[in-house]
Amino acid sequence: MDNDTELRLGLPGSVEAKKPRETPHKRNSPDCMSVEDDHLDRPSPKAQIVGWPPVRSYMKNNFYSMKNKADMAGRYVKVSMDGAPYLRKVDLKNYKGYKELREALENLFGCFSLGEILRMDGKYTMEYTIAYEDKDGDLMLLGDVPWEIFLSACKKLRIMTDTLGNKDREDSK
Amino acid sequence: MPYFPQEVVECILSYLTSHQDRNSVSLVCKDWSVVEQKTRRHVYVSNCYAVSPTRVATRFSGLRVLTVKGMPHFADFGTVPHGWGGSVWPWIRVMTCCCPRLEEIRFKRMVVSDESLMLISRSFPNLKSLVLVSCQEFSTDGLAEIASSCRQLRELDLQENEVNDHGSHWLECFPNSFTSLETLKFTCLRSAVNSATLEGLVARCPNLRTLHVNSSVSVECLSRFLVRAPQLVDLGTGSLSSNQMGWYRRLFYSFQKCKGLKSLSGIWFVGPRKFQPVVYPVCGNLLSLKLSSAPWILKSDLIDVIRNCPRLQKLWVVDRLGDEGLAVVGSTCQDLRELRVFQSNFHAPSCWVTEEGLIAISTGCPKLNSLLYFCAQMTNAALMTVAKNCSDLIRFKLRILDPVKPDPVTNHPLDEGFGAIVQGCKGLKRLSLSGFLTDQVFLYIGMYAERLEMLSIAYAGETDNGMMYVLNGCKNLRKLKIQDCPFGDKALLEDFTKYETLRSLWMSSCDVTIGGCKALAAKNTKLSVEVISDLNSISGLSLEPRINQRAEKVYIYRTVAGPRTDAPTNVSIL
Repeated sequence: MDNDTELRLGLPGSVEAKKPRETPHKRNSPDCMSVEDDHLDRPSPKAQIVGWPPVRSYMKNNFYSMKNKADMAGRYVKVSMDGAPYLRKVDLKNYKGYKELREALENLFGCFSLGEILRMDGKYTMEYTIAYEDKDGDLMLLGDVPWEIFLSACKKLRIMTDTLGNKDREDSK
Repeated sequence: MPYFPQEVVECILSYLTSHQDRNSVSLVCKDWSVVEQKTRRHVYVSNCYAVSPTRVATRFSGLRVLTVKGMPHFADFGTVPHGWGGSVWPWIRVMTCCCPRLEEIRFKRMVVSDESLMLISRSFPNLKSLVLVSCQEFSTDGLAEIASSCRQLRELDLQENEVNDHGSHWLECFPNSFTSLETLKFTCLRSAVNSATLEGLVARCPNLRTLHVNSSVSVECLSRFLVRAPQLVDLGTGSLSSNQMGWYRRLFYSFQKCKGLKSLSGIWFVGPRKFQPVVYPVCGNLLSLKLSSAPWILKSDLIDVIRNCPRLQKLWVVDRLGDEGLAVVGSTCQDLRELRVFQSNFHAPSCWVTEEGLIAISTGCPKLNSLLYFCAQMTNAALMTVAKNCSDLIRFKLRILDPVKPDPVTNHPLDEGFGAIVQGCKGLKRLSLSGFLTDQVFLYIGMYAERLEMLSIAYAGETDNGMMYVLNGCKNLRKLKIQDCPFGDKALLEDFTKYETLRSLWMSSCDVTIGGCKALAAKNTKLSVEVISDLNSISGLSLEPRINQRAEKVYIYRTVAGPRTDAPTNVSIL
């Protein structure tokens, strides 16, 4: 169990340590999708090894400072929630990151904790997943990409109820 | 040849431009060496500490073009601590005395102070070209000196430098009488540029062929100065993002007039409207397209542009293009010579590209000679396909997101795949390995990679044999860069004679010890063995490191200048 969360830099050759372990995904759900199922359409998230892949410091230093300068005036997006009678609108620029956004959505849509699974006797109970629709029209899980990239990609937010969200996870295991 | 008078030999040798040819010629006999020295116009110093500036200046008194490189390659990735060295000052000071007729100066990975720039601007009246790549420390004040004093300047090329940007006043320092500019690149500067100044400069320089502006330059500014410079051959745009339709239309018309444009880069920001229709008029003639500056361009937009560029020979993109996009490249760009697929997302490492894209490229682009490929996975079969289809490869750098990932289909190491590459691509000069690799791959490299000059290894190999196969086999190897491999003192000390031909060796996070490094240094007086510790590490300071302590970063290079005197405290020269 501990091996799953430990990040190790084993030298190649030693069988157990040779592959660096994956860091837990940034998603709220503790059920991580197995990476082998990520096929060509999705990027495959991997562990971060120090010094690899080699990225020029020049690129790293300048990447986000440039992105922040990009024009993103008034990023209002609709937020829908399954089962709610009406939609809301939020200005993404008001939030510094995913945590703040989730908190804001919690406040908007009531007093339930988003993203926690409560299992009783092997049955699923109410649980919410937040997804968004990007420029290509695909429904994406919140939290995979850096905040800055999400800001420009997000067109709509959608809070999905448990049964649909869990079904997706079940199918992909 | 000895029967020819010296003037004739001089005339013949003056046609030789290749450094390697000239180096060989100077070894033939003393007479030829003397003639060669007199006629050498361009000296290329790949390691500023390998030779002293005085020696270069006195030997090559007719010098016109000087290229010097400083820090080891790993400095680009932040692995070499700040303050390591590589200052241009000693070089400039000597050149001002001995070679005042210098016309072109090129520095890469060096520390360039404003004082150095000021000295350059005052001391070389014939200066036509100044190129600074991946340098640091200077500011825009130094650039102002260059702009105001170098009246003959034709080329000012600034790429990927860490500049202290005090504003764009330097651009205004080019006098009104200054009209000789042919190349100007300043993408590494951040400050907003005065639109009128830039336009004025462009308008009065009729020979301007290459212009790369920084990200602050807007669509409006671009469309205005482009009208003044339809003769441009190589353009790096600023931002292509604008809310106003009118300017897009004007830019489109400006591009229509650029009949000679062969190279396009920049494109720092895009949106909200699509930029492809704007650049459409020039796509058909483009030989070079670099779309790596705005990694957030959508895949569909990338594909749209590429489809219209059938004559491309050089393409730089990000992995967002995906395998599907690379298939489009393969079917559209049959003339492609160079492809670089960079990582778009360094914050949370992920990758949209796999071996399928590489297979598509190799099938469609048989003329490929330079390839940098960042991907999520690679198979031996794909590498074998590349070896078969692209036998002209000279440069191949593979970067797999997980550096020890085996072939996902067979679960084997990638030894056979790379083995096929070194056997099939007989002209291969530069190779960077990636993936799960055993000692076997190094055996192949040692056996087959006869022309290999540069090899980069990370997280590969099993025992010292790996490194020894390479050192014993590749007779043309000049630079060897090793990171996180299980190679230790045995491999380091195996064959001392190898270090006469090897220009430099970098080893970080390997198993070499201080003792091993000391032994190497003791045996070889013409070798400089530097052990670099990070600034905060205790062992780098006053405590004498133990013999069997691991040397975290070792940089070994051959030198005729003796140990350098400007090393900081965290660098010990053994």
